[in-house]
Amino acid sequence: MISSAQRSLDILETVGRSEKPIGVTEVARQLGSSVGTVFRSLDALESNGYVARFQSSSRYILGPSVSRLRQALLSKFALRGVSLPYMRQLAFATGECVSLTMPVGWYGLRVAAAPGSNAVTSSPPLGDLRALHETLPGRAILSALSPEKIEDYRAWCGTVETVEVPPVTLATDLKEIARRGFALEIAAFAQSRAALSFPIRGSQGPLGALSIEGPVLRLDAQPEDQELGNWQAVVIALQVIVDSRSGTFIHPFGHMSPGDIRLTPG
Amino acid sequence: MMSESPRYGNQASQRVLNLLLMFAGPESSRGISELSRATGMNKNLIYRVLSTLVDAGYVIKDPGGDRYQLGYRILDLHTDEATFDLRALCRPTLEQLHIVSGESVFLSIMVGPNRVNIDWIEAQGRRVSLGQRGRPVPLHCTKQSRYLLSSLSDEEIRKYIDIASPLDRYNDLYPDDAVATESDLWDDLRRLRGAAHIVWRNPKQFSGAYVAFPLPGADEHIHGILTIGGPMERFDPTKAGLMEAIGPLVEKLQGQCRSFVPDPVIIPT
Repeated sequence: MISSAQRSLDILETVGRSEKPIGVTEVARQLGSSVGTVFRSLDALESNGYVARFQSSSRYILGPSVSRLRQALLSKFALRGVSLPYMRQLAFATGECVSLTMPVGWYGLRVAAAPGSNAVTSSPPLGDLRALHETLPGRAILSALSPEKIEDYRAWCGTVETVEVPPVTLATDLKEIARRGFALEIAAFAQSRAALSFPIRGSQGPLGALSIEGPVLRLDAQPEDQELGNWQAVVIALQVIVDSRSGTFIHPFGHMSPGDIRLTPG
Repeated sequence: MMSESPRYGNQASQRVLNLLLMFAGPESSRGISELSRATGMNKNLIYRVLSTLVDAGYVIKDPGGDRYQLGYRILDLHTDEATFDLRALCRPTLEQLHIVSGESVFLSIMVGPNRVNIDWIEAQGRRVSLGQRGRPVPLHCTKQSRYLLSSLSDEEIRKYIDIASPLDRYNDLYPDDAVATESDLWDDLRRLRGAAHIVWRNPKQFSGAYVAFPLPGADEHIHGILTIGGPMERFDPTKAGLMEAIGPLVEKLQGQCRSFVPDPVIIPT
């Protein structure tokens, strides 16, 4: 028999996992509880703002209290505040959205974004969470880890059902990223251009990665025709600030073992 | 374990949900005594409720091991967070406030060392309050600007004063309630700081009156201010019934704004 408090948290997660507004009956079916019990818990969740009715219907979505808690959590990543002016500079220089991703356990979490000024620009959601090797910024973060830590990561991937198995070339790919100084990802719709991600390093390891989300690097251009040097200068300026304030950027979950943090990527 | 009665069960759920919300503020961690004082629950009960939240990963122990902080499991609750767009969030309330008051309404934010109106609805008629329409107004000029400035920390205000001095250089442009010295400015900022709203009438001439409200974020820093203004002979913010009509609309918007963390204020140096 679970406690009512635990049941409320289970119901909250069920509403959170649902890809569309969810009704009482469906929640009860998924949790194997009675409709009456679920309804009482939803009532408590609604009165505290954890869930809300979708367009005044009988179906539920997550409410403003969850947004507050998530925003409060994102604000705990001190690197976010320091990075935003540099992200805006890069977004202005490239016209593309620039984002900051930070490691949470073995996942990468997008904690901030500066929108691009181009007519069409990427707009990835804040709070987006993926296993590190599955995304461009995640690979930039992994590239700044020691070979032993990368092996730990690979071993962890094998224990988590929701995470894709890393490619056999992962270690070689990461070495190449480390040699180059940034990760790149060729855009599916523009084969001659790539998005970029630069690792930001702290004294204990990678703090995060700054990514230009759109296809800005021209792969068919000569190095002297690229603006890459200007973008790298912005990242280096941020890295200098980070280095000068060593110890300021305490990761909220840095005291935990990465493998202990299990999440469900959305 | 015995099954809980619905009433008791609901109370237990409420305690857990209420206590989790205590971690939505700017504090990096919270202790049991502090939570007990804030909630009125005894320490044993706090400990038990925290255990439920810790088991679920919504709260974790901090690096020191004797205090608690928000946990990583919050990230499993996938909300659809877009980049915060204050203008889009405020627009419906601007429209409602304009209908209720019949006057002009403005949304202003801090842009570097200035206040800038980023959205407005102007009243119609021969005498109406007009917005600055995107014109940057220095943060120490006009009562509205100073209301925004007062939300900064003392250190940030000192940085601002350094770059804005001499403070009287814009007094010809903004003569109403102008401040000439740093001391005058600090006096006014201390009066304005933390006010739930400000009401302003121009004492020098028969012109505008307005009421302004702050829009605080999740960390209680101010995203911007919302102002309703009109000619003094028609618009009286202290008129009976007006605040009762606009207060709930503003409070609802303030609640929505508290779901977001404002970008850090960047004062150019």
